[in-house]
Parts: sequence; C-alpha cells; structure tokens
Amino acid sequence: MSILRWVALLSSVVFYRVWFPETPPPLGLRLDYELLVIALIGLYRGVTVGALAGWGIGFLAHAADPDMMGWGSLLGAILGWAVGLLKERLFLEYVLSRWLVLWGVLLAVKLVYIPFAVGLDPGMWIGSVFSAGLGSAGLSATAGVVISILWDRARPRARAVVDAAAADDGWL
Amino acid sequence: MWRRLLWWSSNRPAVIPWAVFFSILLLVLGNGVRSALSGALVRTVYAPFYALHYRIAAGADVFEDNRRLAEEVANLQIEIQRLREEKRENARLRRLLEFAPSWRGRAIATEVVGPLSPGSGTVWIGAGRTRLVEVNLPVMTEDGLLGRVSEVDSYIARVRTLWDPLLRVAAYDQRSRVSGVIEWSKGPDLRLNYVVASADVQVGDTVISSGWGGVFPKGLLIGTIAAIDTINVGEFLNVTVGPAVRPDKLEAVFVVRPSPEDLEPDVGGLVP
Repeated sequence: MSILRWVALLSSVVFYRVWFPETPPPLGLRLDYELLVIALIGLYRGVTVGALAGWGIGFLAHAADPDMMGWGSLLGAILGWAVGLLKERLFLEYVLSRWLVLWGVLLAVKLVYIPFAVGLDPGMWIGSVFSAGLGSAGLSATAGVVISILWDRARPRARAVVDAAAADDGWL
Repeated sequence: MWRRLLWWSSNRPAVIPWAVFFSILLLVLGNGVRSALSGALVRTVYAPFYALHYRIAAGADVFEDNRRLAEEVANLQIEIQRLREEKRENARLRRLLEFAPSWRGRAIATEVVGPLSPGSGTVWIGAGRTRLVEVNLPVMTEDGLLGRVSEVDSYIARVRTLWDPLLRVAAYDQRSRVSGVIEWSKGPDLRLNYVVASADVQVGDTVISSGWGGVFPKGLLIGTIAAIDTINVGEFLNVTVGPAVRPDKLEAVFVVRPSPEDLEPDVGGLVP
C-alpha cells in the first residue's frame, strides 16, 4: 500500500472521529469505523501490519482524549494482531465465518471499552453489552464483510498477491 | 509451541511486544505529558479536519439559508408588487382629485369586469343600480372620458365607449374653442367631425367635452389632435384625435353623476 493510501486511510479515520465524535451514548448505535479499518487491515495484511496499523490508528483516533491515548493504542494493536492471526488460523473465505470473526473481535474490543465509557454501573454494563454486541459490533462487522466482498471483487489479483506473500511468510 | 500458536515467528518482527511497550509507556506518562501530546496532535493533525468539518457543516447551512432567503425575496417581490399597485392607485386617486374641481358631480368608482368588445365597442363595469348607476351617465378613467352607460342591471352596467360607432360626444378644441363632434369609424383613433375648414385647430391641441347635449359634463378630457387632413379639405376638416384613454388598458373606471350645473343646455341636438 502506497504512502498516499496510508495517508488517505489515516485521514479518513481522523475525519470520521471529527465528524462522528465518540459517543457517549453507550446504548447508541455507531459504526466503529476506526476499529473496522484496523480489523480489515489485519484481515488483508496480516499480523504484523495489522498490529502496527492498529497501534497507529488507535493512537490517532484517541489523540483528542488524553485519558484514552494509551488504551486506544493498545487495543488497536491487539485488534489488528488478533484479526491477522485469526485470518491465518481460520478459514475465512465464507461470508458468515468472516462476519463472525469480525463481530467477535469487535465485540471483544467494545467489551473492554465499556467500563471506560459507563463506569462501574452493572445495569449500564448489561445494556451496553447488548447495544455494543447486537448494535455497533454487528453493524461494523456487516459493513466490514460488505467492504471485503467488494474489495475482493475489485482487486482479485491484489488478493492473490497478498495470499502469496502470506504463504511466503511461512504460515500458509 | 505457545509462541508459534500465538504470534511469534523467527522471520516476523516482534511488533506486539513493542506495541504493548509503547502503549504502557503512554499510560504511565503523566497526565500533563499526555495532555500536551494530545494538544499538539489536535492542533496539527485534527485542526485541518475540524476546519473541513466546519466548512462542510456551514455548506449544509447554506442550502437552508438559500431557501429562507428565496422565500424572503418572494415575499418582498409580492410586497413590492402590492406597493406598486398602491402607488398606481394613489396616482389615479390624486388625478381624480385634481380633476374634481372642474365639475361638481359625484364619481362612483368601479372596475371593468368584461373586456372591450371589438364589434360593439362596449364594456361591462362592476357597478349597477345598487350603486346608483343610471343610463347615460358618463364613464371615465383617470386618463379621460371613456363613454357612457347604455344598460344597467342590479350589479353591473354596460358602457358604450368612444369606440362605439353609435356614440357621439360634443367636444371642442380647448385652446381655440372650436367645436365639433367626436365619433369613431375605425382603428384606435377618433375623429373630430364638423370642424369647418377655416377653423383654428392644430396638431397637439387638447380636445375636451363641451357639455352640450346634456349627457357629458363640460371639460372631460377626450384626447389630443393627432392629425389634420389638409389635402382633401371640403366644407369640414378631417381631424384625427388620439384618445387619452387606452382601450387595451381599461381597469379602474368612474361613473360620473354630474350636477345639473355641469351640463350646458343643448344647443343643437347634434349629440345624444
């Protein structure tokens, strides 16, 4: 991926954060664009790039919130790394399996975020889990699957090259 | 085994340990350092996007502002049109007030409700017996004489205009007092007939009603002399009069109820 594309991708993350600032409403529905971008990078570019991009995007996305700065980086890196690892370990060609993996990792990250967002109120936790799980994570996973399908159709040769590179990496 | 199962590989950079290290480093930094770092990032990285967001949001408001201003312009256009109409009405009434001292009658204001009929030269007006309109009363516009009432119903009346071939009006040249009879034969212009060949009439002279005949009061503006035929001169001149009233712009009219003093005695029976 060229530097220009990386700049465009990071710019889109910042712009999304500016346009849709993070939520309080813990029960609200929100497309987690930055998490989705990290997951897709992990899905297509593997563990290393996923973890690096996750750290950078997490850092950038939470730059405006000093309290979340380190946590955002850490969770982003783990998310990119985890998706890349699952991509290598699991068969993700099917739409459903891809959706489940994306939903699972996004939900896991959201579950970690929830205590930061709503504090220690168990009632709020339960509501947030439902909304984050059924709502935001599901929405983001669905969007991610749609994007990945479109990307695969638009770039079949690029995907083949990536797969070949992953195979050279010794994991396929 | 665990290393391979998780993430480790001999030919793969150890990204995760470094990512965790730098993340923890960020977390253990003091709030002041994190705030300073955050502020620097916001000022350098986020600021252009905040500006872009502001511009886009302002652009969205432009549509709403444009719609509101378009409505305002439309309302102002309506208001301007209303004021123009009032201005014209004001001018008409002002001219009517100026006109009033020449006679002592009463004007009944109304409007033309039917267009001028080309064949008969008549129009319908929106006032009838209920407003004391009677047959043979003169009808005017703010520009001058239009004709006289020929039929009256309860709420409307028919007006025989100057473009009716059956209507004749005793008139004279306002400057030289040369008298004649206004008639219409064809076209938009009128004719001042029965002006003797030696009479003092000139193009541009104003023609007004003479009051003779007992129908039209004296002094109502009819028009101005537009042409005088000096070639085919017989006993009488062929004098063409351009009417003051435009037949294609009839709108507000006044039915005139002259006082008896306004009407001169009939001296010849030439006119109705």
